[in-house]
Amino acid sequence: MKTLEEIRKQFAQDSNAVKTVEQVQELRVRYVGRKSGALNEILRSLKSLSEEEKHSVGASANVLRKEIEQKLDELQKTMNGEAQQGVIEDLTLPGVAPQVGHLHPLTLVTNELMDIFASMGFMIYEGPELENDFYNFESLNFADDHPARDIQDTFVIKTPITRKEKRTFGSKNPWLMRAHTSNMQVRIMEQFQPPLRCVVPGRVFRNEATDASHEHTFYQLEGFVVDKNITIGHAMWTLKEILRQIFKKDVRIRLRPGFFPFVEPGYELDCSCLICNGIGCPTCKRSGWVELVPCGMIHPKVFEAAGYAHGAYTGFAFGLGLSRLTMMKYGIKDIRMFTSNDRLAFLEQF
Amino acid sequence: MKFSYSWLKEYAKDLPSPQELLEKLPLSSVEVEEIEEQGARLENIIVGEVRHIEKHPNADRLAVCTVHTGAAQEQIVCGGSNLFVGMKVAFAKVGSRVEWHGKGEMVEMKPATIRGVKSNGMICTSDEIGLIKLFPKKEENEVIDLTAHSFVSGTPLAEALGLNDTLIDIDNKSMTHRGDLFCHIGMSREMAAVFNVPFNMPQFSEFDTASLPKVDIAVEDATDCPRYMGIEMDVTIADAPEFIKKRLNACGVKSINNVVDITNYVMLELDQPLHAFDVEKVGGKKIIVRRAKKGESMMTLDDVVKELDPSILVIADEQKPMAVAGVIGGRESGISENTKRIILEIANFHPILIRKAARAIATRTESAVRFEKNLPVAASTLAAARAVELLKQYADAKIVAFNDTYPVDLKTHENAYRPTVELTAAQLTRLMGVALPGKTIIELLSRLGCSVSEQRRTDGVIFDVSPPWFRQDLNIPEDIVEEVARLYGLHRIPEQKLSGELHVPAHEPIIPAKREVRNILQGFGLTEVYNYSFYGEELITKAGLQTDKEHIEILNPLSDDLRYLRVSLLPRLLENVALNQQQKEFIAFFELGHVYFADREVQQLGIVVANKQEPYRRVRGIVEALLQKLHIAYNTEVISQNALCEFWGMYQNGQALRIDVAGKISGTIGEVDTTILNNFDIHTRVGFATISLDLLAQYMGTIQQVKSISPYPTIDLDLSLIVPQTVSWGEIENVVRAQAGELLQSIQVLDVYVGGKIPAGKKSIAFRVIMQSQERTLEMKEMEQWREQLVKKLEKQFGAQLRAV
Repeated sequence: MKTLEEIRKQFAQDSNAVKTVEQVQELRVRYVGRKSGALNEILRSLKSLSEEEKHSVGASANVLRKEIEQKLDELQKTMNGEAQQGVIEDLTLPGVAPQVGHLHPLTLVTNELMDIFASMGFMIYEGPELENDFYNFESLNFADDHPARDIQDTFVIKTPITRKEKRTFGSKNPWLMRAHTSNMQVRIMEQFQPPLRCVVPGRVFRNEATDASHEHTFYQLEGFVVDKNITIGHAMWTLKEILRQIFKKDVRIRLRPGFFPFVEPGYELDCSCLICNGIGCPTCKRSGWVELVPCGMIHPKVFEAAGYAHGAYTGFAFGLGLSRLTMMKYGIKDIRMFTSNDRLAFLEQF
Repeated sequence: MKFSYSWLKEYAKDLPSPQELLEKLPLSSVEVEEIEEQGARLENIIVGEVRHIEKHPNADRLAVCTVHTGAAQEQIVCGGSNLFVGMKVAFAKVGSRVEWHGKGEMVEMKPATIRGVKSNGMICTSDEIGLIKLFPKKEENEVIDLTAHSFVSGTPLAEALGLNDTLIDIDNKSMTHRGDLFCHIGMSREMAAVFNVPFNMPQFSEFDTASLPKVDIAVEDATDCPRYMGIEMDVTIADAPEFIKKRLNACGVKSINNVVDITNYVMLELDQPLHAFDVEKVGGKKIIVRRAKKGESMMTLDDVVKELDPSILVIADEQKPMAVAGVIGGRESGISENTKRIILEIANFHPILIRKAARAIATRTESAVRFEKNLPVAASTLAAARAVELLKQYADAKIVAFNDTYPVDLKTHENAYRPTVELTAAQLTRLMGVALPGKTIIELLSRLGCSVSEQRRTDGVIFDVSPPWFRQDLNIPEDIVEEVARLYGLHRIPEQKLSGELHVPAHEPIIPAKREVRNILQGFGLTEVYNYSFYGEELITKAGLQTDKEHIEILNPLSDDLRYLRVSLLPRLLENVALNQQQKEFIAFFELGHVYFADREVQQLGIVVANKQEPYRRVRGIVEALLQKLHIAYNTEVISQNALCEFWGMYQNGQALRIDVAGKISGTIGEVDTTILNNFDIHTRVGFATISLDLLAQYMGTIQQVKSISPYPTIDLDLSLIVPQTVSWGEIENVVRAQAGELLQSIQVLDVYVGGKIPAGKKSIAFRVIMQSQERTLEMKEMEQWREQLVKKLEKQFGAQLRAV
């Protein structure tokens, strides 16, 4: 058996003579191969030595192994390079794409909005989609006879629902698919005390026929702020700030009277048209304004339903149409594209 | 609803221009949808006279006419059924725009040759130029006959007919809570208040009823019908006066005769719907307001027989229903040319009853729309005075009997105003964010007809606000704040920055978890889909599920394929795969969504991977990598059909891998059963996983401590074994792990192979064991010995043999 020094000399000679990649590989097996490599032979013979010798020889062997491996790697690189000589990489060739995934456009817009609201201190809740009439309508000051509570507008559940809830619901409170994300207003108010800043993004349902701009399933983002002295002016500033963040440009807003049972006063918030900046164009029907956010001051009946003391708080609430914002943002012309999953080509653009 | 601008101006002469109303009214009140110049579509349409008619040489139903147009004569081919020489007609010149046969697009009139005969224009039917309300057709091909008017040929038609009004179209949705705005007086009053111009409420002459006999009226339930006024009158039926016809036309209401037109006119003016019965047809001359009986039916004015039931309120005589209360009259008891005496109904009905009745008989009339908005009972008082005044003047009416079940005298303060609402100045400032002087508040509210008084109390200034009788929507202080704010000008309210306690928002825990899961899966190359929460029996069955197990049913689904709430994301995901399989060989979708059960609603992650090669292992790889990325510790266990689960039909060979997190079942992974793939026409293999998002949210980030990295080299040991096919990798792995102990760094399956040189009933598994010590460099010899022992053990336990390489 050779000594380490002999191996080193022999390797120096052999490595000088190497011409091809195959020869490098051959050297690798001969010197540092696991089964029959010269270095391993030495290591295997160590067991006959004393502990001290083992230690010193072992360490030297490892040093040599590293030297050899390094030299072999260099050689291999050189050989490979020589083999490649004369072939110039065509840099105009396309890249090899990784498997690329896609998030749904509604997810992208919802994420963006959640980030904006969270940064302003709003907490985010989603809540149940199968909801009781109490939270969806009654607690929001929709009278028993309000047309919205008519069965033809809402999907009503036939099967008995046995969920455990803090409240007991009356027989006039059927279970249904939530018609708006406002169902979370009283749920949140029951769970937390003001000051409250909350948004509820989510899926809502309306019993209506589907066309390019109507869907029985669509997405909203409800928001509300409750504190001791919240004013209409707070609603205006907050919504303007939010819209500025969403559209990434300064916008002008205006309020118009609007009626919703759970706010009083209630408003439609118009935003200066994003296409023409308010000059007037076909998108805004030449008015310069686009109706965007129904909003208003939370109705005292809603606070009452949540069990808040009369007159203790004021607040504002608003609803953003996530489906509509997403369509605006990406120029999607047909709301049915969101669930037309037969066209991967649509989803692959996001 | 369409309003006539000239009619609105009758009560408020200083109203701003229609264009200004369009732009500014919505900022303080209702939304104006559009303004329409009445004569605009009648450009190049003139009065003409038919001078000559002869048969068209090539068409039986057409005539060739010569029409005198004042300055010239034109040859026209016409299919009119009522043509005669000397007839004055509405003539559309070349260049005018008409609607062919009253439907479809407007087209421009051009010179034409019709069956070989030249034609330069058109003699119009009323629906071709939007005048159907003014000139109702009796026959399909009837052209407008203007002969009775003394119009001069060549006069523009709009000018001849006095169609110079502007129509203001107000969006009904924006005034749902403002029932008082569904009439001209109400709208004019609102506009006058908004623009701060004078409004003059017209005064109607009262009629004396003291000495009159009573009309026999029986109201069975005053809740259904709080007020019923019946006025019996002798009348002379004739055409309505021109001004009424023109205003009805402007508002899109068909003219019938003086009596019917006056009832409609009063409704458009004062909101109160009225109805007239022919006394001859009222059996027993008695008006009974009652619920319909089961099985009763009635032919309504639109000639349709409606089935009635006890949810519907009717106006009946002693024998039969004569009208569906507040919705539509009956054909039989209606006014005809021969009517001599009428009972005029001016009543008030329960709004919900009317809404439901209108829906039940599928007839939502102008009358129903108004009653639905909870018309005040006082409205009848004004409407009666106005209707009698007009009927006396234009139908020679003489009152012969009268009755009113709930008289309301609007001259008393109690009737003229609604209950007082107490608004504190502090409350107003607190909501508006701006403090207004008391006199401004009083001025603004007075414009709306409120009676306001200001009091100074120790706790501040208080306004006692009594809204006028017609503002039934003003009941609480917040309602009054809304009125003050909109008249003050919403644009004048200063914006206020949101301030207050600063909290790090505490989101629902699933919110950040979903974000994380989505980002990771996108990174793994999966595409996110959104599917409906609903599906139908067909899809449920195709996916091997059953509708009667766990599924929640919708009472009123849009269609059968949207009848049930999903209990699994898989059926729709398989549908997604089926629809996309032509485009890609490798499909990887995921969805995050709710699934619904009677006792709970949970959020799930569904993953499908469609690929010919090892789809199960791909999905498992995705799920395990996801769990690692989320820093969640988990266990896996192969489960088979004997476990209790509704979903077994989905899994190939009735086996699945269960994922447990913290001892809780959190999901399963498997390959989709071939029968189910066939049901969906899927021609590849599909692996799938469903995982509870709620559990991921709960346990996300629970392993965070890093392991120390060993400074010593690893040793790779590759083994290739031949074992019986019944031996699972999991069993082999357990033995390897047990024997390796803490030296095991990882195990990788390199290859699983059946067939070829491998004997029948056996399979070859090649795997690599990577060993490493935290304390020392492992020696090759030691490891080789270890391997020999392992092989022996595997040989003994599974009959494994080392495969020659």
